[in-house]
Amino acid sequence: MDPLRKLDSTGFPLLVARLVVGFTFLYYGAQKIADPIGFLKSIEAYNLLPTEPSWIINLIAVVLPWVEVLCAAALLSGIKFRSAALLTCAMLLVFTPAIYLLGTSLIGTKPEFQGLCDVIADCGCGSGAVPVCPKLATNCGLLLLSVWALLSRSTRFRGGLIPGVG
Amino acid sequence: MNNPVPETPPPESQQPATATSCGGLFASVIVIMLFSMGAGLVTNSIRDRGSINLSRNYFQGITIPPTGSSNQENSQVSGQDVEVEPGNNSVVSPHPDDGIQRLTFEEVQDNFIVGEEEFEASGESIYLFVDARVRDQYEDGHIPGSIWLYHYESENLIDEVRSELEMAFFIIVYCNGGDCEDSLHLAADLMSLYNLPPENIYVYEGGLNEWKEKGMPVTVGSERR
Repeated sequence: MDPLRKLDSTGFPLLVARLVVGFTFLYYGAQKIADPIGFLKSIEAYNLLPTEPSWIINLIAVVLPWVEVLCAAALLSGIKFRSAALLTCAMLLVFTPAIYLLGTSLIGTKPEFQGLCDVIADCGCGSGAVPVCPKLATNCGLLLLSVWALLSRSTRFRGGLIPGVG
Repeated sequence: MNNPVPETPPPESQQPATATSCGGLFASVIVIMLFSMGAGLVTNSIRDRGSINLSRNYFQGITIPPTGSSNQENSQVSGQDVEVEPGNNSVVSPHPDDGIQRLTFEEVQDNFIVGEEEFEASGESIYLFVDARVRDQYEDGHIPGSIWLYHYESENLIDEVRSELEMAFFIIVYCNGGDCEDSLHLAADLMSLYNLPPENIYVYEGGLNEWKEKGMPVTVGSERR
C-alpha cells in the first residue's frame, strides 16, 4: 500500500487539515469582519483590483471574510467540507502570489527592506503587519492541508467533530 | 470445490471521495458563496459603524499606484517638480499630477501659527485642519483646532462640518503620514464628492507622526483645542 494512502487511511492527516485550516480561516475571517474598512484598505494596497467600478472591490471586502468564515464552519462541522476545502485552495492560490508580489514591491522602499524576507507588511490577512516570508510559508502549509482535505479518501473524521453535528 | 467468493462492494459510506460527484462539489461551492454574499450584505447593512457603501469609490485622487511608497519623502520635497521614473509604478511621485496640493511641515507650521493667532484674536480662522483618521486616533491626539472627518464615514459626518469647511480658505487635511493615504483620498472627495473649491484644499502628507516628531502641540480627547 502506498505510504501516503496508508497515512491517509488513518484519518489523522484529514483531522489535522480540517482543524488547522478551519480554525485559521475562522480567526482571520472574524478579524476581517470586525474591521471591513481596514480589510478594504488592505486589498486596495495590493493594486491588483480596479477601484472603478467601485462596487467590485467594495463587494469583495464585504463578502470575502464571510466566505472564509463559512468555509471554516464547513471544515469544522464536516458539512460539505470538501467544497470548503476547494474554496480555501482557490483563495490561497490567489492570496499567496499576491502577498509575494506585495512583498517584492516593497523591497528597497525602506532601508531595512533589503530582501523579501526582510519585508514586514500588512497583507490584509487579518493579522496586521507581519514578516512576509513566514506568511508565505504558512500559506503554503495551509494550501497543502487544504489539498489534503479535498483529496483525502479516509473514511475516518469525515463527519462532525462534535458528536451529533455533521 | 472452492467457489470464489464474490467481492462485495464497500458500503456507500466508505467511498465518500468517489461517491461525491464533481457537480455536487461545485454546487456546494456555489451555495457557500451565496450564503457568504447574503451574510456579508446583511451584516454590512445593519452595521452601526464601519459599513461599506458599495457604490462609493473610497480611493479617488490617486492617479499613480502607491504600493510601496514612502510618503514621508513627499512631504520633504513638496512644491518641487520631480519626474516620475518611467515604468516604475510602485513609487508615488513626490509631486504627482493628481490635482491635490501638498504642504510641507514648515508651511503647515506657519499656517497653524497664523491660524491660532487669528482664532485667539477673533474666535475664528480661515485655516481649518481636518483629521481624516478613525475616531480613536483623533482622540489619542490631533493637531489643535482640527475637526474630525474620518474618510470612510465622511458621508455621515460631512453635514455637521460642511459650514465650517465652506467658510475656510485653507483646508489642511492630514492623517498619520508615512504610508497613510486617507488624507489624499479625503481631499479628493472634498473636491469631487462634496464640491469644495479645489484651490482651498491642501494635504499635509507628513501627517500627525511628523507633527509630533517635530515637537508640535497636540490636543488629546474629543475637544478640538
